[in-house]
Amino acid sequence: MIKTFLKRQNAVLWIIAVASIALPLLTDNRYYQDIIIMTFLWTGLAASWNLYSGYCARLSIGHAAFLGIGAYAAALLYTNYGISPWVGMIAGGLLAGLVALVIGGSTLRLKGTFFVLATIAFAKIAETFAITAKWITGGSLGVLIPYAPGFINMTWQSKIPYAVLAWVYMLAILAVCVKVEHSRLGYFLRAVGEDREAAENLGVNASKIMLTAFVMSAVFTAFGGSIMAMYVMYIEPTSLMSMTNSVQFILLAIAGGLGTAFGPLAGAYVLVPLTNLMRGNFPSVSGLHGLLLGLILIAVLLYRSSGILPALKGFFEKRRKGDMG
Amino acid sequence: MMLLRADNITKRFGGVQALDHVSFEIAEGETVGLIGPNGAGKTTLFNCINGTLPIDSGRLYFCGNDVTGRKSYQMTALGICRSYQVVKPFRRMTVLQNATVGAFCREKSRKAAENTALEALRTVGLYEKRDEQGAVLNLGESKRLEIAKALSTRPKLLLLDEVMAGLLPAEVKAMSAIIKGINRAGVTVILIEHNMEAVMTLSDRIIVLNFGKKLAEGTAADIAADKAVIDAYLGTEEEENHAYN
Repeated sequence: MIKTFLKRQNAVLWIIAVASIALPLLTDNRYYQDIIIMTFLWTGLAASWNLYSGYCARLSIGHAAFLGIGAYAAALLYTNYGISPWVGMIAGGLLAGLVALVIGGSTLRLKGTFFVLATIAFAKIAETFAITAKWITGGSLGVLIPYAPGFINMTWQSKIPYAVLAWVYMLAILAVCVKVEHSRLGYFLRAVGEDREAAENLGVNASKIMLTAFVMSAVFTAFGGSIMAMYVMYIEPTSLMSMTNSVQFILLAIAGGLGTAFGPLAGAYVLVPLTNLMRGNFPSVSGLHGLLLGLILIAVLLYRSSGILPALKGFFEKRRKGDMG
Repeated sequence: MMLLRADNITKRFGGVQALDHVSFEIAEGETVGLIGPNGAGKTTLFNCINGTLPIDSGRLYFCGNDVTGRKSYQMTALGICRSYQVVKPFRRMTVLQNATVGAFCREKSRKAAENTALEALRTVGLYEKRDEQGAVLNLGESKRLEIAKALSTRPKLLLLDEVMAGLLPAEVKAMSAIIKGINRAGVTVILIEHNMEAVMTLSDRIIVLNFGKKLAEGTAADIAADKAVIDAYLGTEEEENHAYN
């Protein structure tokens, strides 16, 4: 059993990911359904972030900007021009990809810390733009998305269709990540992340590889942003593109396991429900979920800096060795 | 036709003239030793040949084409690849994955790349270690992994930077056999080496660098008898005795 788990670790994780669609169907409680939807969504988002930052070890603390681009594209095109959010989602992805090409291209030469600072600045610029460019974005008041249920409007009365949508999004991103991990791109990304000079000596065009992954990561994040906007039905720049949201990507991926396809899933499945339940059940203690997140991250970094998923794997490997010995 | 022709390669780091109009030619199929005292510019020359460092002046020709100014990944695609003196394994990847990165230089599919990588691992005797993490290898194994990674890119010209440094005598012998095997398989080799016995037996020709200049060039016997080389690098017995007294 344990041996097969090890051998088919990805298979087990796939089963968990696929089977989770049963969860929102098992409960009528809209509060729990909301938590499940957010868990799916954040798994996909953290996996998108991981595709660049996790594999090639360059921390972006600016992904909330791409989330915002996707959210605004879908919300504004739909609210102002009646364009289907499905089209808006594609538009948001394209715009995010274009922006990523510029931001990624101009930050390629920046080393570790300076890249991190550049991404923080980028998110801040995007947020400020959304607040000040009132004629486009509606400013700090945000955008209230009209409620008109229907598939074409990506709007439903029940939460189940949203859950299915978020679940499909999550599975699609995970599938891409697994595919990348076993491909030339994935090998090159990890090599560049470990030692850029050594990778280039082996024929890796590091700039091209990094840019490719950065654009992919941004596009997938924007898709998630569009879904999030249509689900919440209201977007507002300061919370959407806040540092808290940018950090959320990193927390989930690091806690789960950086640079592994299913790490973000492990991180999001544990942390998103936990923090939401904390916030829901102890509303009087404000910031409790933040404190908890911080504590969990510290514990993960102290005990097993590679994350929850590698820690589980290590645990089962030890058990297996015990079995044989 | 010469495989590699370096024409007056010059490289300066601030006030230091690291390479001073160095010219030489490498024929296809040769094994050439590159020796010289510490700081002579040997590794810098490697960095300039494989495109890690841009050269200040001079030209570089590979297979008859001017390749001056190409970046290192382009040089690797052309067929020049190096190993590092300070080993650079990808620590969180397995030995096989390490070599597969190199193999992806020419192969698109993972299956094909892994086959190339496995072949390279067999050549250097790391096949049994293929599933170990890059981080757990000892120095001798790391040096061999360096060669396997470079070999996986299917180079025409392999630059080996002190692959014997720090190895035990038995390991040096095994390494010499590996290098001889690679050369016999048709790969031209330039090796930087301080182990005189190994470099003298392996090399068809030897180039001596001193203070960034080419001091001498010739067969092992020529070099061992060259007055200038003895003064600058090899030293004489009397001198050694003198030093001890």
